[in-house]
Amino acid sequence: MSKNARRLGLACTLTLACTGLIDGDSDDTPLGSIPDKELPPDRQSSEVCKAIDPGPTYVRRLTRYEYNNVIAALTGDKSSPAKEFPTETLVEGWDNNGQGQTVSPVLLEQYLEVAEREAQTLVDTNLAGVLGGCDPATKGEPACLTAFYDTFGRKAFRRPLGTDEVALLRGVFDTGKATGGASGFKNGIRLLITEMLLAPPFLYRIEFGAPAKSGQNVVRLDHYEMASRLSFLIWSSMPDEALFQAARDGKLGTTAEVTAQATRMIGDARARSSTRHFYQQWLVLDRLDGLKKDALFRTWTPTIASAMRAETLRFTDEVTWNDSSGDIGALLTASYSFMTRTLATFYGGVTAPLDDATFARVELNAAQRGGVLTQGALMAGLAHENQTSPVLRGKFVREQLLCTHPPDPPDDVQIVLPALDPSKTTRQRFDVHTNLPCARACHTLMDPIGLGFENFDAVGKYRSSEGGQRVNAAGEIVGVQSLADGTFNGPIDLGRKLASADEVRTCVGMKWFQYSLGRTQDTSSDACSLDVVRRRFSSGNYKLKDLLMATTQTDAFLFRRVISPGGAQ
Amino acid sequence: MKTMDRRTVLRGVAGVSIALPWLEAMGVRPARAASPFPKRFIAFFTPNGNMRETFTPSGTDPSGSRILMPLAPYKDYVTVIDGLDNAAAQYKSGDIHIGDAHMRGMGTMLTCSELLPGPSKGGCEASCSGAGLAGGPSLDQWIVQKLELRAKTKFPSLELGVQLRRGGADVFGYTSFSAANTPLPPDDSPSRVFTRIFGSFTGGGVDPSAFERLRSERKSILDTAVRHYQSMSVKLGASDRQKMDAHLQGVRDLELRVNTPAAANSSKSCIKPAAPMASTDYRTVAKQQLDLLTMAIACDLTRVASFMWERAVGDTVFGWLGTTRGHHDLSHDPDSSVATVEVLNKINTWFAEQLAYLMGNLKAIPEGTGNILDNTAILWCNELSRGNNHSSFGMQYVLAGKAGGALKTNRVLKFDSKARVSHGNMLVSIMNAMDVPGTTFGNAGRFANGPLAGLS
Repeated sequence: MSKNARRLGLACTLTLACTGLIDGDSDDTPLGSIPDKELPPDRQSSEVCKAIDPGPTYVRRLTRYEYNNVIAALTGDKSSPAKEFPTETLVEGWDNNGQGQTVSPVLLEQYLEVAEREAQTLVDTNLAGVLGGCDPATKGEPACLTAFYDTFGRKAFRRPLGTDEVALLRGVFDTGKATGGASGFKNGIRLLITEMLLAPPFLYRIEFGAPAKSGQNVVRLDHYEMASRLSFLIWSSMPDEALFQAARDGKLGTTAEVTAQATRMIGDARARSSTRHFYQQWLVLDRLDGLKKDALFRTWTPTIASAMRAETLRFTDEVTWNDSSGDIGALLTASYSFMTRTLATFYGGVTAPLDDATFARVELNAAQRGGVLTQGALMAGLAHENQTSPVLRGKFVREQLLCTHPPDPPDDVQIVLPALDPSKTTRQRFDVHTNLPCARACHTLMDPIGLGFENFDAVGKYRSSEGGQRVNAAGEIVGVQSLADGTFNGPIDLGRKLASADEVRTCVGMKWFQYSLGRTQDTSSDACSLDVVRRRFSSGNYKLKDLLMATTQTDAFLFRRVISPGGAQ
Repeated sequence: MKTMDRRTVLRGVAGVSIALPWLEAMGVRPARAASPFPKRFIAFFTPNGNMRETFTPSGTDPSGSRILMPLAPYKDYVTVIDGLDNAAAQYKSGDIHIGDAHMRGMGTMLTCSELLPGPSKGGCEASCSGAGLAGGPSLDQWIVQKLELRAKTKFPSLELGVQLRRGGADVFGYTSFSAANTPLPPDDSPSRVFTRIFGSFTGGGVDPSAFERLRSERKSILDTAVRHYQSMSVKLGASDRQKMDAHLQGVRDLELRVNTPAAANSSKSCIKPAAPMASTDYRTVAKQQLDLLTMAIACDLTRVASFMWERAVGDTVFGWLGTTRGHHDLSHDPDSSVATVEVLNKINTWFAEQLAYLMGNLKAIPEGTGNILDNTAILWCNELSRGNNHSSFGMQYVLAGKAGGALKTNRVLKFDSKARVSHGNMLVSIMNAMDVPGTTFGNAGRFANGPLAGLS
């Protein structure tokens, strides 16, 4: 029996109206012969795209971020219980890489603890809610158990339960009913909720795809699976009622239907949570957690560090969602930011009236600051405790904006920061890198970029002089083919150059691809998907929020390979 | 199940007597007159390289160096090992290393297996290829598996640390691996560790029937979860299947933990400690964690642990030792920086004091006619021999405790680093001392070929 048929069977036992509950059968076309007009326009115009290839799909466990969002949506508990879970293993800086996820005893204990707590709270405070309003006293326990599966169960598993699952769960309910004494039914429901919060369909995003016809090796997703793909992509959370309804109606099968839902969802404020989590990781804002600075910087405090982090997230929110151009250029050059009074006082030179309750928009002195690269979060984060780091700053530009990895120092090199010398500028002290031939080969990739940031000290304050000498913010970015001239003066000028570089545009698209699909790109099987992202990004003049929609138009998002049990992914 | 009327009074390390309904609620069986006593293993990790000149004693007294002087009261229990080669960290795939020196040092330190290839480049595309995590189980976990400790203690092992969390997790951040690519994240929060080990997790209420009920409910939930993961696993591709299978094995182990009595051999020093006070002070957290580990061992809730003082490349600022710079930052200074070398000496001496504190804790717990330190092996290890050249040649280690008499102690073992004796051989010796037979450890015996001469 096919999965969909099983679900239909179950749905019919659970609800009176069975019409419209069949999943996925609207798409009968073998993938090889999907008419072009049903494929995304960006795909049709790409020369790279030939046969549909979604690349590998991996089961993905909810990250701590997603878990918190899902628990909030499912139970109303907004306390972020996953904050106690162990940190994810990061793969290339991302916390959501499906291949990098492993379980540990501590994590499983935490899952159990949270599941037990949430279940207890739900049955104590909202039993009627999880039963979909069914009252066991009047409707009878069997009817309300069915209603529970169709209400809480469907939300927790993000799809209707399979008949095999209902059978599996029966024992848990019976145990709870037996041990619960006079409140046996309620206790049975409590145990069911506990189990469901530990079960694979809750903790993992498992996609089997629509049933494959003979000879097919690629399929569209099941409608419920597509609902989850959309909700986790755009909201970092579970589907809402409208998505569930669309899945129930079998309205998430075609590209047009997926696009329509994505458009609706991107217009919803929840879309910000996904991009915010992207920026947090892409810009490596975790550097700010507990960031310490030398006593030399007397005004540096943990409050400043967290305010800088918040400033950048508020700024990226604004650039992505409200800025009139909203593009890479705005990200790298916009002449405004968001500050509290404390942060503005720390930076100095801000005259606008501010308080500490909110991060208010501040127009910047465009001769000094502009764009995310000049914000404290990056400038203080990419510095040593007692001095700036042209190397770290240059390395960040290479790795996060150009997607290249400068080589690490060889094992036998003693890395020695040039000693602090009050009579010399950082540029003069780092000159050693250009005078030693062995160091120059690597450091020409980083230092000349980083030295262009010398107007910002190790805590992110603007400075016009260092060591009694005027700061020279001339920099150079070498080896970027699309830039005819790599020289620049200061980070705003650098931002302007980077914003127009093809390499940066491609890199941002690739970073987004990794984050939004939770895996590392495969240069051959993902060539079409990456090209679609690039095209969509380009045709909207590199508006950052277009990246959300771009992902939904890729083979990697719309399809999956047919599973060969026990075989290659 | 005993009734709660019988209240047991136990005397703690600190000499504090308290009434203890708690142990019974956890299902403690009366201590059996077991002999020999169980052996314990603790990996004690500090990062960023050693200071060989001030670490390795010049004579035969294992506490006869500036850094190791704090171990003097316990030198009967100490062996210093100097001059080993971490061959697994030097492994090359083709012509290049996998991962950078800290990553390699860390991922091989206790696994003796080269790093797996993987996507994490650590910023070293030209000089090395991308690395995944460790290529095999770490010694601590190998001991857990071979001694079947899952069935013997409530926690097969504990992974603890001090202020580690910043920056996410990667191969820099783990000492322990249950298998290739399967890290066990260290927990750096005393309150969470306390709750996990001594809190209500085991159903430590006061009503035995309530505990029984909880146990049967959890059994039903977890059995069902295992079946649920099985049913998913069989439908999936190979890599996803591995993931589901690992999860279901984890749930099975969790079920075992939930249903395992708290302790079979808990000593009379076993008392439920007070909940630790929240603190952001490194030294306070460190002491809380060491005390929790001590009590977990005293109560025989675990016999194996790893303790991480920082992640590899950890940049803790040891401000009370007179520095404002981070440890990793300092470790890169050249040997000619006299002031920095002095601070690094102080940092490593401070770590030795912490090892001495832990040894003192364990020595204070009587076991038979001796004490728990008699039946313990603690390995103080580092991912590098030197921070400023990232070397994995000429490594130094301290082995503390007698492992039930299996280790020869009160000695300094020096190896000529030119002889390239593998640190894997030391791991083999420790493994044997823990009653796990074998002549090799780690990846296919590539980096270990027998026990280390002079150790046992």
